Amino acid sequence: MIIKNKSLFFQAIIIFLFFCVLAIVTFKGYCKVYKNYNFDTQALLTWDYSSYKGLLPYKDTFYPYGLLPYYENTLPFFQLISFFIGPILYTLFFIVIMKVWQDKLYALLIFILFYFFIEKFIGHDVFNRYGIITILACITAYLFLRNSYLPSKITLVLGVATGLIFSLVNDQGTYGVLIVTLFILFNPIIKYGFRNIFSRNYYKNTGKSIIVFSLGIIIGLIPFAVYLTYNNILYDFYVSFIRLSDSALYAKTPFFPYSRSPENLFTFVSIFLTIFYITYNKFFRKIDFNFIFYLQLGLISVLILLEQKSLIRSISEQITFISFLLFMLLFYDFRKFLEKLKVPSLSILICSSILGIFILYRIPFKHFNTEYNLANLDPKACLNKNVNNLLSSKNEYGLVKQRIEKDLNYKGKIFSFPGDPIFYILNKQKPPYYSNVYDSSSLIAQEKQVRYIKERGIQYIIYNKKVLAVQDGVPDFIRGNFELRFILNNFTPVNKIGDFLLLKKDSGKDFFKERFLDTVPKFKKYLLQVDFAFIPKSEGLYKKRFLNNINNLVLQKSTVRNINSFLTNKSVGSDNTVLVVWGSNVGQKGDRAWITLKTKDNLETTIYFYKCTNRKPCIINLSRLPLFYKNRIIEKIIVNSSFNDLIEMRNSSNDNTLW
Amino acid sequence: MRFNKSTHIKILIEALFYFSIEVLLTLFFRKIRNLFPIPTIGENKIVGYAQYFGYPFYFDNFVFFLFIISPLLLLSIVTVRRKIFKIKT
Repeated sequence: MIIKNKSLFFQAIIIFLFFCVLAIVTFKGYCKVYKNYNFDTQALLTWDYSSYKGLLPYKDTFYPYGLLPYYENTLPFFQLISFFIGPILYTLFFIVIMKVWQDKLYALLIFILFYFFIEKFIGHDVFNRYGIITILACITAYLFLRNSYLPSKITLVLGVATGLIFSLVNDQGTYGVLIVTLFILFNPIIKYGFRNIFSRNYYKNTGKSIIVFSLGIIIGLIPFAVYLTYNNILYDFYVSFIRLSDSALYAKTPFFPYSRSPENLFTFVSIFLTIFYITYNKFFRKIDFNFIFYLQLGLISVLILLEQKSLIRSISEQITFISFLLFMLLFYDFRKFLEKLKVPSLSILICSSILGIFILYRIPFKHFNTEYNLANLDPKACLNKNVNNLLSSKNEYGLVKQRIEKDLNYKGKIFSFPGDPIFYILNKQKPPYYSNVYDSSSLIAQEKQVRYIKERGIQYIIYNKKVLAVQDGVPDFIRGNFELRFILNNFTPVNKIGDFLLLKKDSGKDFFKERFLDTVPKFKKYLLQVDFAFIPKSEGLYKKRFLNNINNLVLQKSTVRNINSFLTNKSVGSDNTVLVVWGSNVGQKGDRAWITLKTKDNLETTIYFYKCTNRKPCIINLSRLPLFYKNRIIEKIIVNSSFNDLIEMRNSSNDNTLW
Repeated sequence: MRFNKSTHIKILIEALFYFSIEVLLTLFFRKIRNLFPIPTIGENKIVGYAQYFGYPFYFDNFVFFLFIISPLLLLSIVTVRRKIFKIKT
């Protein structure tokens, strides 16, 4: 249906064959040899290792991307799909560009420019992922151009395609469902106006389309469902997919500091100009809807969806090729406008070519640079190559392994905190479900990690003391509080190798009373002088209702002098004790307030936090402070001399709402 | 209804004027940010950047959405104003 033109069909075949040949000529293999071994690449390498070891995604390991990237280095079937996905995408984009530009010379120039744009700024791996949803949106736009409601057969095929895409690359499939559904719902309104939604026909036809589309998705999902059922991981996938939404909560970072990057501006300007242009055309030029308009709608929908992801975790560099297409569509009309003004075609062509070259060579985008080199090695050799590279680049990894195996004569399983999963590969053990404290940010995930340590009978923890905040500047004792509590309460430091501390299982000892801790003063300070930032303020703001419970009151609002005399006469344990700070004058250091707590066993810890007010207090759950992972008797509260606020003490044992 | 060339120019200038007001307003985005509440730590007890640094969770979505639909809003204002004042094409 899309290719009625025979000549275009043959051109598409030639382009497909060309890209197949190009893929063969430039083929370097599927083995990823990582250039460095940071937090991100270690997670990627661990997934490669899990795939090679036959571990199942969703069940044995947390994996958010889908079957295609998981198995592309290990199973020939997925290697085959992976190989052809690039040529197929380029061919489809070629057809779309040829459909828009009837002038073949321009079409070819635009296509070549598009290819080099991807080659230089995006990378083929990223294009093979986000290109899927982009081309699906283009095809959907084309189909909906001719019909208000798609014929059932086509809707069914679209559904099957979306289901298959979901099976291979989960997020692209999800976006696909959203894009097609949007077109089904809004196309009749675009074509016939808002009045259409009052007609019975609208609900009848859109309802039918959605049912048929859903049926198609179910059919497309059958191979995936068979795979999941065969491996008995259907439920694991469901749980994993549902919990993916947790990542939006822990991954969220500010968007605006990065919004001024050239890539973000490029994307934003493309969306803004396109929306302005199509609105202007609709409001003041009364131009009929054509293929370009539908393409613009499709691409804008994709960009807005992907920008939602980018607002949480920036992918601004990866989606610029969609903005590039939007600019090209705007350029199409601009060229027509120039021709109307009788500007010579040759001048336009020369200027366009210069502009194209300028975009490729002068636009200040980051150049595409992968974190790995590809090599043609089988999975085992690939893994060995990575391990050897790692050991030669940072010998501490090898030394840690040697110390545990030879000096400490331990051959059992180990656990890495906050996240050097490379140790699992070196130790040839099955990694925990989450390879680092970032992925296991939710409480459920942390509980799973602790279960892993308990069930595997792990005797040694390898703690990377250099990584105090694995991601986004959030201290690991904040992010992985539950997990760290278990570690500090059950393990004790015995050895130090470079950046790594070896903690041995010994629940009888007190972590903070170990002299060994004095040999790592920076780490000790990190655990005892803790910054809770906005947490006490947020707790006070949203969980003040907790304070209405009179039964849990240990000591009503009091001055520090009164509290200290109370603490002298009564033994108050830290477990379940909550401090409620009313006021904003607690000892200040910059924009933070601070309170120091001294314990009966002569230890002390200081907590820093953003100031609160008399109306909205700060709530501090003492059990969350590393020193109070073990119950200790509080002896004294220390604040600075200007302190004149009131503190209340409560018991939270019956309340699970507080952090 | 077809507009003549000078009308198009007038419309564009007017839209540009509204757009410049919008740009000026965005200079106060920090103040807008402070209107948004800091995020809560929910029952699943997840703490990431937003919860720890008190960054308003839906602030970016809100501002981004406003910017995205602003061409539609600006041109709607132009249309409504032209209808109210019965400006001829």
